[in-house]
Amino acid sequence: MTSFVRHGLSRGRKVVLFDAGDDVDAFASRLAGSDDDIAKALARGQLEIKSAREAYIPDGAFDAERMLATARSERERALAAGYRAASFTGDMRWRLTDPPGCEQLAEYEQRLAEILGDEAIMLLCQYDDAVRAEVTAAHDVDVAPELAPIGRCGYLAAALTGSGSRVRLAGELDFEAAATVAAVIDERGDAPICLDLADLEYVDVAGLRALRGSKRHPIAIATPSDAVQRLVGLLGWDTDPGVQFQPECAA
Amino acid sequence: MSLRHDAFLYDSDDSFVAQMSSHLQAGLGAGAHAVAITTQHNLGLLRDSLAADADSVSYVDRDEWYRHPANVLAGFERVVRDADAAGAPCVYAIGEVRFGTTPCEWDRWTAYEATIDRALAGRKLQVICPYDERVLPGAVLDSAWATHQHVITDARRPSPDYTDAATVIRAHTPLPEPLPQLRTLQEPTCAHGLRELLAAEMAADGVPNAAACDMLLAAGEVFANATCHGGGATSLRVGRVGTHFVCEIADAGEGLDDPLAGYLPPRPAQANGAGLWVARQATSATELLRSDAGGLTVRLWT
Repeated sequence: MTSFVRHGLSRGRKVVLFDAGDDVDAFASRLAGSDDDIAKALARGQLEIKSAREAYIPDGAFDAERMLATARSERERALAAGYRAASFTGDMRWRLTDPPGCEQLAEYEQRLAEILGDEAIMLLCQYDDAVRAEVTAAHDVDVAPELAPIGRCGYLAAALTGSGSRVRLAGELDFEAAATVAAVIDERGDAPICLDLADLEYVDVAGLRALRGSKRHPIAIATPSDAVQRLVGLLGWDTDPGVQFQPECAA
Repeated sequence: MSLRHDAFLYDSDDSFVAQMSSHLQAGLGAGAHAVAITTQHNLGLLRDSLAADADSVSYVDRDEWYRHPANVLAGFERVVRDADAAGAPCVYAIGEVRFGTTPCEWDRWTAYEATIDRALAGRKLQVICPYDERVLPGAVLDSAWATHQHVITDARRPSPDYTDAATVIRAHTPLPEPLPQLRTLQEPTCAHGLRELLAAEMAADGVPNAAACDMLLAAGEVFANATCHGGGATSLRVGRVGTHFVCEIADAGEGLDDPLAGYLPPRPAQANGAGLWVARQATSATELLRSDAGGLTVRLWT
């Protein structure tokens, strides 16, 4: 998530982060303490941290129209303040409580991407291990369905799923997002990584390379999309011993 | 054992069979993969003469193989990689180029021959390019001496006329036409914007899906190069030229004066520089021009 935020900041965007924790101020100081650039961005207002619960479900229910209005006004504020664009990242843990209105989420994400318009928005949905386990146990919900609508809007969505070893990407991965993705992969350390790329509709050379992090991390690719297969073939990754292909990622 | 890339000038079936069968048999004897890419007629001659070894050789119709120079380089690269993966020490190949019938085609494939020594340098490949003196024009036969370090006639000897690849390619690459009919579009601010714009133009123009996807890939790489190394894209022009959809992206950089750019297959550990390779593979032609402001203009053809 830090790498996502840093990417937005470095590209001159306003970044709004909706945190799911109960104490937003404490989260903000932890984040500021971990990184100088982030501390400075917080101080000058380029990065704002808000409560996900208050934004998404202020009265206990999710309302797509209300949240879209919030997104619109956040974007206008960002542009008025001189930023090139706005990036949003929302911690979706509030979903676990299955609040009313949840069924509007897919449509909301699709329309959000439309509102934010010409400037590509990146939505990074990180589901950590505990959340994933809880989601599965409590609701038997797969995280994948929420990602697909974002992908169809032509942007990049990413999720860490499974035991954190599975990275699911949907939408379009190009050189502009490559550094962010490489940082996410690097954060996995030496742990094995399986990439679920069935919904990656576009990928370029920098994007494909980013999937191996900055150190040519060995990876497994499951269900590559046509776009992934095409580029894998052109770059000869299909005979690269560092890249395995398998029918699916282990759960 | 690294790359060996010879020309072989022949004027009879007997001479072809004698030289080429022994080349393939030498490969088989060394445990190498043996590949023959030539005319149907010559494939038949080889099969007959190889007798017991015939089934150990892969046969490819050269009309299928020599369609697009950049793809042929990738094809040889793949043949070598596959052999390596199968544990073979190297590949022994015959590659009889289909030079075509027009001066324009002769130039195109002569330029291709010139790229081989650089593009496949270091590869475990022993390839001989037969030139049929009975049918090829004098200009093409002469070019074999410029594009191969060794030429086989009655014997194998170093070519006194071997010429630097860039020089040969420049001499055989026509100057790109101006194409005033292309329409100037507003430069997109991001890669996603470029793809949306191009996709809409190609859909309106009826470009088939596979060709459109490849164009988006190629244009994306050129745009990435312009953004990351060329000081940003300064102009975007598109339009139909004959049966092709053309997309032209100019940048504000220092230009690129390397006729081999995009012809060297990316190595696995290479950190960057594969964008033009991908562009050349994914388009029927990728032309590099000097833009008015001195930057690089890349013109892509579906």
